[in-house]
Amino acid sequence: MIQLAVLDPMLYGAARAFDYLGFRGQDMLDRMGDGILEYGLSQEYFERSSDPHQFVGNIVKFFVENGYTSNIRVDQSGDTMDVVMLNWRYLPLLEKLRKHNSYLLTCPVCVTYNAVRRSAGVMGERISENVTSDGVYTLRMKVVPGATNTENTVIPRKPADFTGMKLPSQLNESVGLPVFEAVAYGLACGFDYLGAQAQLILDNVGRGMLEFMREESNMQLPYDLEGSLHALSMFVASGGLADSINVQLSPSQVNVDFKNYHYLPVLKKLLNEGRSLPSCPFTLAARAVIRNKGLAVEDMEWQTSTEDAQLKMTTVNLADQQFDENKVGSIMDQT
Amino acid sequence: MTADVYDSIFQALEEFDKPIALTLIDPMRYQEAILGVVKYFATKSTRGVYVTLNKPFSVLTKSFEKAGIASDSLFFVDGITNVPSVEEAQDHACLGSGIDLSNLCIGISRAVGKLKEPRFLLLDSLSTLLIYNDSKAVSKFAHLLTEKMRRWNTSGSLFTVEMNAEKDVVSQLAPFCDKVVKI
Repeated sequence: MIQLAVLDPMLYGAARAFDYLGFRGQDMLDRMGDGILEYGLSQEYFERSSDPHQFVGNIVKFFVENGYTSNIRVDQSGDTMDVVMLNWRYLPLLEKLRKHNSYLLTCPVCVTYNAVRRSAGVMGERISENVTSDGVYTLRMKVVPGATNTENTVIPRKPADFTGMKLPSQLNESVGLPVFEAVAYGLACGFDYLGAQAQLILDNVGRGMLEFMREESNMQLPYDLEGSLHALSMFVASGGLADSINVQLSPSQVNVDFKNYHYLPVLKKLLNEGRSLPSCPFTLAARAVIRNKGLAVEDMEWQTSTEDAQLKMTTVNLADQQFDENKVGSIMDQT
Repeated sequence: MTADVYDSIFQALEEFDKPIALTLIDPMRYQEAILGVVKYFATKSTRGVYVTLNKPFSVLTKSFEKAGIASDSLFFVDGITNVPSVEEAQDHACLGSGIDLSNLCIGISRAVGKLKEPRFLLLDSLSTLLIYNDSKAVSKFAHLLTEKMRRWNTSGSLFTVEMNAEKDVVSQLAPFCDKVVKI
């Protein structure tokens, strides 16, 4: 099991990372859903079915069994669909994002559902939302043909009113590791098509994660880099990412030792597939901490064993990097 | 879809003889944008230098060929493939991953010198440079490169993917380019 205190910052960071694109950001986030689907099928967490309703049912069952929601009821009449989410772990996060005027959705169930629906050439226009004081969420949608998001598929015509509502924090609650793994895999390979520059997206996710951890979990990071990484490692380890995370610093390296590392199945799969942009929550947030101290991570090298992993991050001081236009220009003239 | 990109870039740049563009790419359209821009420049000039910092040149060669772009029209400067030392061949130079801006400039300069005019230069992308460098250094690099492109009589484009990190670079670099093309 892993606490929402570790998973929610990733989902929040992902939503915030694409806010600048407006409703088009949902198309990027839905790519996470493709990755969740791919991971869930490859690990046999759920089965594909030629019947779309059955397939969605299998996916919902996976999320229910792993504690992400206690049930999802779907009632369809013609092209109108009512979706009711009970004990939905994403609800407090939805409320927080709405306070930032963000309508992008990173709920793992929803982006996975979007992936299935999109592959069938249909989208859902959001008509209205309702949230009751005991946390039951209802969404009314109109099923329309399409494969890309529009303003109507992202922003409900009548959004839920969270005014005066105080949803209890669920950050100490836990969900099954398979949900965490699938989200982490979706995040790592959703933007893979962009090549190395996808790291900029993951770095934006890391910045959002730090913001969330500070605001919602009151995580305090000391001024110095070593202290900050130590505090971060304690936080995510206590949330269930690993039994222990030991960080050691040298002038141009950050070495991290993960014991009983729960991101390991995802990491191994990514490395086997030749994907070099990992989405471990500690690594994402640590890169943001490192950048905030005026350093950049130049290289990341992983070593894995059965349950553990070691990470070596090579850092460069941005202030030490000099680019002398005149000098380089004259060398170019001579070549 | 690639045809749409080709048309957009054609309309934006047709008034220039040797255009130097800053191409600002919607991340959702990255792949089609790259193909469309390469096609545009490849029809205008015989050969060009493609500087790749995102994907190994071996991967790009395959996707370009699949899209009908003759790979022998391009010389790749590869700053992403891991090589123990600089590796040069007839169609590419691998400078190693995480190359610094100064050595990248020198590598580009050498590659351009190998090609006869008319030639073009494409840089993919400024966004990647922002991972390892601060925006001031990237702006200086891009400024120097556009200045040299004018001196070399070389057309081309510097790519940047809209990721909320490149705004400083775009605003600083736009005045030095003939056109900012949004795709």
